[in-house]
Amino acid sequence: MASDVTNGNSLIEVKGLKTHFFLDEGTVQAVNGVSFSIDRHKTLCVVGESGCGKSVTARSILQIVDHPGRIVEGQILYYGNREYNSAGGEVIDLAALNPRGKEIRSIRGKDISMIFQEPMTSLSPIHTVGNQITEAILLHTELTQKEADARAVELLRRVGIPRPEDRLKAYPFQLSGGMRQRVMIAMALSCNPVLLIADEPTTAVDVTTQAQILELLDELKAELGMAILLITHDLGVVAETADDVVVMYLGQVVERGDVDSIFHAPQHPYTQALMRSIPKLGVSRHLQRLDSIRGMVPDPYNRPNGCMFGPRCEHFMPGRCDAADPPTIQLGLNREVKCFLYEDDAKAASTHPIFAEGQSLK
Amino acid sequence: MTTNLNNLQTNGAAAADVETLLEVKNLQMWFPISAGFFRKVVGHVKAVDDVSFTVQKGETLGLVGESGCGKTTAGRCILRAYNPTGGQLLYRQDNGEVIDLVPLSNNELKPFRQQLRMIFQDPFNSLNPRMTVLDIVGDPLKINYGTSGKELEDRVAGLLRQVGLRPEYMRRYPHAFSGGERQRLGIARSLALDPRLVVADEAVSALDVSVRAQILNLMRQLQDDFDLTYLFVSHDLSVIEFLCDRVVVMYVGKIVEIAETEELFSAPLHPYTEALLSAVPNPNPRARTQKKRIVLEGDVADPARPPSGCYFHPRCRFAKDRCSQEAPALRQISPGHFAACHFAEELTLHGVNADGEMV
Repeated sequence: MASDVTNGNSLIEVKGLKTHFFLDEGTVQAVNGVSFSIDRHKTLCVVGESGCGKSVTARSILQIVDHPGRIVEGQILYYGNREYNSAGGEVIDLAALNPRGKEIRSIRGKDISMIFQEPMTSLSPIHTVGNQITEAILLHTELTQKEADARAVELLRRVGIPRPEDRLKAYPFQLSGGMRQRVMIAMALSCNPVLLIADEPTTAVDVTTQAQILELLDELKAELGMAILLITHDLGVVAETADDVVVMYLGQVVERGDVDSIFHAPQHPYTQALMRSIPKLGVSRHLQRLDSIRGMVPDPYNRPNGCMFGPRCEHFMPGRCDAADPPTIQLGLNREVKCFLYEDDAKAASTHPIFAEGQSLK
Repeated sequence: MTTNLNNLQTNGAAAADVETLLEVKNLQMWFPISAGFFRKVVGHVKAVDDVSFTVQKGETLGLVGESGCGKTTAGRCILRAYNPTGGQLLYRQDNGEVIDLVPLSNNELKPFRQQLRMIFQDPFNSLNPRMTVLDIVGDPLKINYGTSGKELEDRVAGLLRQVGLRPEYMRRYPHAFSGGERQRLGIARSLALDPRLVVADEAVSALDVSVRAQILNLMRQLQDDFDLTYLFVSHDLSVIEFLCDRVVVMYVGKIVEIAETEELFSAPLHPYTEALLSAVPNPNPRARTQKKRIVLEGDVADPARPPSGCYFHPRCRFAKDRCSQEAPALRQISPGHFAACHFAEELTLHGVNADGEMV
């Protein structure tokens, strides 16, 4: 299950992660055996529909899974703040840390920080913007209040907020949605993180603001050399920002690869169907019907047997797909797919008929 | 299918075109801002300001813009969920008579409320959790026609089948359904009274990609089956492009451009439309390097204190002196293509071609 995903440049390696929620109605296996790695200085996008466990995966890395959820299995190996050396550097298993412990708190907000989807609900309405940014700085560094204020002004300027000195005293409600998201980013950057986790950072903002925010994240990545883990359901955003992509469905990784092969040679039937169902600007005005995936995401309490996507899959093989969990098959370096279609001839896979169907987006 | 705004303006109240189902004329919805102890009115949020367009029978008209542009308010004014502060809503009835919906009282509006229906954005909040599917979908029938018993059940079963739900689920409550199914319920409810115009406000925005495609296909199918006219309000340009015949683009309470879909997407005439099109992420990683994105500066203007002249001028890359002084009128540039820009004829703007590339 826990396939070897190391390629020597990993910052975070998630191995066989399982995060379950224990509710009165039953156990929800929100994340159920997820493995992937995040490379240094790269953008990894985790994409999937609502309920696929992408946000819980991100939250598991920081150990901020809401009660009654908890990590029940797996490792999240963090290769330290320093540049990776062949000796391995200091490796910390984040999954094994106490969620309330000192160790994870020294990493949270410092080495690894996070921006959330809805800036209005994730910023405190009763503290000023300056207050909220300097809080993290004062906690993690030796700076004085005055120096921290100066750093906050510098950060606000960097993320494109006009008149940053005045904005320190502003409350979140006095800012527009795009400005609030910039404040969140400034806060996340305050301690020079090596990994920025962005959970749907542009879902709640307008399309022109989204363009601004994505551009800003790209600039900051180049400038500060951090890695980005971007959680999104928007395939357009993935195509524009990702280096590597993880496609999730119902708590599992169904496909993993670099952005070009995910978009131009998707292998898993779910990825292929997803690619077909997005309306593409310019193309969709000539379509009579959009391709859709039949059925809907199953109820988390009633997961199908075998392959999670089986009941909706057009390549469904009775007696096989519903009998056992499909294996994760390596198709190349950092390229894998969880599907029986590739089981028999993983090596000669390129001759499989499904490859010919691979969506070409021109 | 071409609209002739000039013609309509000169003809006064009578909508000249028999194919026009609804003519929105100089619609205005200003919300008062009050302050102080006596709640004195100190200003207005001009949510919808002097908006005119027509809805043709059988078409899907898209209303697109960013949050705060007034598209939802315009949709709600048309249904008279809000009482517009000015303008006319000239609605052509079944018998060909044209009536202005704005001055009508609640009582007088009753027959029209059956003909103009709404599909809401959020399928989780727009269905009463304490009502069964039978009640939710059947209530409009019960209230308006007094349908009951077996007949009501048959009608509801028929409606459910039409939107792709199993009639056996009639006794269930909304919580037993997924987002896509709930949106189907919302659609079934709005179709119960055989409406003529359906206003769909961000009807697919809360849904996942795969389910969204199902609902969009369903809406197209129902349009043919029920002979519907849609006013489709959305911020999502790719959805608008798929579903709509014509598109109205709004910015801070005003219309900036109206055109047929093909034309608007391939050859926009207003710089704001161009920027909107360019901001949509292209789901093709290989296009990343080719695309020259136009990233707008700043934020959408505050509709309570809009800038002088053209509302878009502080963010426009072509703005000249004239733009900050004089507000451009919406005028016809080519047949059926209206734009509110002083320089609409002179600018060379980029659109999106049939391969999804910016040209």
